[in-house]
Amino acid sequence: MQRILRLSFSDENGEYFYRLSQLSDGQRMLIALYALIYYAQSEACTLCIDEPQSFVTLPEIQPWLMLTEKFCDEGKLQALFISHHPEVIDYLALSSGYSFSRQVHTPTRAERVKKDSNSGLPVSELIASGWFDE
Amino acid sequence: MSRRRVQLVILCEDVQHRAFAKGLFEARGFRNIRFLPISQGRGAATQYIFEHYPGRVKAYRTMANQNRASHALAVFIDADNRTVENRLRELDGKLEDNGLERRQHDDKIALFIPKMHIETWLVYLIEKATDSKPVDEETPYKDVYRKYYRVRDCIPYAKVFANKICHTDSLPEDAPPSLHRACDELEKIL
Repeated sequence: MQRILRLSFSDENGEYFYRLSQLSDGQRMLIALYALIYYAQSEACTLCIDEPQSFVTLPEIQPWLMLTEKFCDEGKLQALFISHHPEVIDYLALSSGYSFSRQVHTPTRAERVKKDSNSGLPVSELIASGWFDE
Repeated sequence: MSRRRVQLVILCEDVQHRAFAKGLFEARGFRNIRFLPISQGRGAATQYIFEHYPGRVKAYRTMANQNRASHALAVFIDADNRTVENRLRELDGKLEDNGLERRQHDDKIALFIPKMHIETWLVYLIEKATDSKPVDEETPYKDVYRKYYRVRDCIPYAKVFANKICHTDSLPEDAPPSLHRACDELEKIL
């Protein structure tokens, strides 16, 4: 017996079914991201994702971050993300961000992102400008 | 149009504003919420709002011209030592400086201006829930809030405020006047 994974999409015109291979990389990534934060809740684990925004379009990143943050706030999930993307950095850095830095031949240092540096700019902009105060 | 479909853009000073806004708008059925980046630092946050407010209003009006019902803008800025009226005038002034009309009655733009800070509202809402002591708008409550509560602790209180206090009940007379205004501002974008 062959089992086929089908995904259902619906709009005002009706319901459509696609196989996973018929979806774009971004759609597949989005499904994987939402599946992870819902299904990881039942496990005693920490969800670690490197660059979770990969392949995901800009308007789709923040809603996923908000839901992940909500689950974490409610104690249902524990998560650790690594990202260089401004959308992720600006959403998470000031509330729960750590910066990692390393000089040549020295250990990596992890420090809480400062909230009160009075730079007046989003953290991503400071990093891009090379003005980030670690 | 259902609030679920309205694209709400939120410009706020800090993560505490963001947490309150999240509770407030989710409770009233908004699902498409976009938080704009927050600036780093306390003192510079007000300036950051002033700088970005005109551009966001311009963008909102451009979009609203096509479909007024589907877009809304909310701004959170502390009054600090100013009055709420001062802040409103300052925000209108920023629009005029940039060649834009002041906020109009039919703009779906809500300006939430806690006096003295957002923590004034939060401490009031929490104290109200526990029948504790009254809160005024002259005392700084930032440190009090931070001592006893986490940023996210305000979310359930924001939901009760949006869903019950502003919606079905009425806000008690002794509530901070700036919080009374917040209910009116919320109505602007519902």
